[in-house]
Amino acid sequence: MSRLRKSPWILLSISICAILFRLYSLQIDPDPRVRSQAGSQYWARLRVTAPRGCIRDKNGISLALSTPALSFFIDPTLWDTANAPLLQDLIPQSRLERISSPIDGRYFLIARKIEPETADKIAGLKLPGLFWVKETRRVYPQGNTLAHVLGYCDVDDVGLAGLELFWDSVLYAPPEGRIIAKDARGNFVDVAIPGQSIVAENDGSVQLTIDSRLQHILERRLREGLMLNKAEWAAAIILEPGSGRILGMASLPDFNPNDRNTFKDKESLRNNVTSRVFEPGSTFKPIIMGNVIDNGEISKQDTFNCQGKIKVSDVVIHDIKAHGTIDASRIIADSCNVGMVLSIRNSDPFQTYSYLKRCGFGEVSGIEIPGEESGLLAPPSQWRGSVPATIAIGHGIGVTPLQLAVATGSIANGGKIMKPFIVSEVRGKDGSLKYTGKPEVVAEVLSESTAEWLRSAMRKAVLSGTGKTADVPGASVAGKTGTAQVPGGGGYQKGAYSPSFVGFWPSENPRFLLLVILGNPSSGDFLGGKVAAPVFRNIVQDIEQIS
Amino acid sequence: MNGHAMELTCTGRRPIKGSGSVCILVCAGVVAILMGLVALRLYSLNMEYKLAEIQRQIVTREEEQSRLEKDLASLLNPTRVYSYARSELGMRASANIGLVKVAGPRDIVLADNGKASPGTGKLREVLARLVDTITGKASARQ
Repeated sequence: MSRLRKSPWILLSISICAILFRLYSLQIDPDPRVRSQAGSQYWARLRVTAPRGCIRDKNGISLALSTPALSFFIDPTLWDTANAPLLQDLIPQSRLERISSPIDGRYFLIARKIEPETADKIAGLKLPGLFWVKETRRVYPQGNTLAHVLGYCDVDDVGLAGLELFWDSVLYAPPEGRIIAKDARGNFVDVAIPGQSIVAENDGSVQLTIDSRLQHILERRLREGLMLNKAEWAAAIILEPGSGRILGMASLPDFNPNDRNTFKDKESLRNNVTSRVFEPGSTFKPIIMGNVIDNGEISKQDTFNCQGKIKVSDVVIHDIKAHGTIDASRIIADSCNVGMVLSIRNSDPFQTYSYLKRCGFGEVSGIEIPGEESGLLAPPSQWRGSVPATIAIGHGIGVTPLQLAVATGSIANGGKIMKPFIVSEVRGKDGSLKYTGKPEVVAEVLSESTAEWLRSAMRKAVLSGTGKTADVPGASVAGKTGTAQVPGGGGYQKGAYSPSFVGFWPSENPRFLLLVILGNPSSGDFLGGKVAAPVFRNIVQDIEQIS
Repeated sequence: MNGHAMELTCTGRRPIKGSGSVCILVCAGVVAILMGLVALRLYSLNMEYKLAEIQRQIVTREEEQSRLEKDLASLLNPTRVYSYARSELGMRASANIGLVKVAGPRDIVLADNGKASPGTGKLREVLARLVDTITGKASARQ
């Protein structure tokens, strides 16, 4: 009797225990198949790109950054092809045609990283089977500005050119698998799992030595010069001669990294400052003159007789006019070819070659940009006949504008070749400091006194020589013109020139060094003093107003 | 004997009655615990929802910050500023600009019978530094 009375409670207890056990087995430790099934119903793992690190100028203004963008895809098993016309003009036509008919599989991408305005329109349609995921898109807010230096990325945000390529290991964050919740209807709900960050972090950054304001001046004035003189290409670089810090670098034609249609012209993708090799012409004379004076091959007071032309081996080297009796400083100021040839008569080719190597010619400078050319400097064993003479006037040698600017910088800073740098600081993905750009002396190639004398000679070139059009009253500009012929077809192309001007200011204690080159102008003028020097002057005027 | 036996029987029933009450109490306790668990689960769901909402807001704000940063960079673009100044404000760049360098305080030669007094110069320098420190205008003076 008592057992019967006890039995309901026992049964109830057993039932409760059974329910509790079942609850535990279902809720706490379910069968793996159940777990998998439930997981696929409520959660989905998607592959999304993480934001790339920022590139900023010296004042912290963003030059390249990643902004949110949406990518849309459809699940063909849930997609109704009748809805395709609703996406007209919102997605690419080829994709629209594709989703207008049945597709196999569970995933079909219809639009990648599109603008927020368009994305909002598509999302607002709320079409069954249409899903979206957040990604990031590389944006260059200043458009064409500094495009050659910044470079660009592919659609997966992998760096392909410029700083984007050079510092890809720091800027690029690999794609991440992202867990996204689904609601009962299978729509994605962008809610993170608690404890897991919804946004991939990337504190990587590259800070440049470039000043956006100087860069703008450089590009604007260079573009004006290019259009006025109908030149094929142009390049300009401004740097601090005392440190090698690059403040601006412009190359034309250029492109807009936000618009891939501007990538079609291969010439526009070339950075003419670091990747174009040209014969420098007379802008090379101060560099050679510094060597012969430092070696004692001539003295600063020596005079030479220029009769307008001179025969060297089987070549006749001409001047624009006969300069008559001319001293070393006037050779620079008046850009006398004959005087230069006479000055290097006793030079040792091996010593000159060694000097030019120490100046950085024939070698890459090591600037933090990919694609730098080393130039062309033949070994001294090949310097036969007229070669030493032509090199003295800036022909028979190929240099990049960057090399020429750095070598001229040694005149401005007292004889030191400084390693050029364009990156001031690089931080890794975790924000730690990875690299710091700082002044580095590569070689000492001139004595202080020779450098000072060359500065005064180049000042004379601006005051009373070939570079008068570069003068800016009050700025004390010193510089040198160059009008180089363009090699081609085994000789020099007829009527093709590369006028240039390299200078620094103030001449007593230079703060800035600027080089301007315009390639193959076709408007009529081709002399450095008439084509490049005015552009130089305009840039100096603009910079002096803001510096 | 019987009375004793009855007493024993009655004594034997009492634990059965007591165990029933305990069972009821246990069941009530279990139910209460289960309801508590359910309530806790509901509470945690509510907290998860709030957390997700906050995270969603963080993401929205971060996206907004990215867009604002992009807009700021676009607005600070010197090319845009220059174009705006020319087209909207009608500003024009001056031609043939001459520069006049104004000497800084250290370059000024003090008039003292045609000679600079080293003592006065030092005093001026100290005073200038003091003023700079107080006003924070060193860069402006330079």
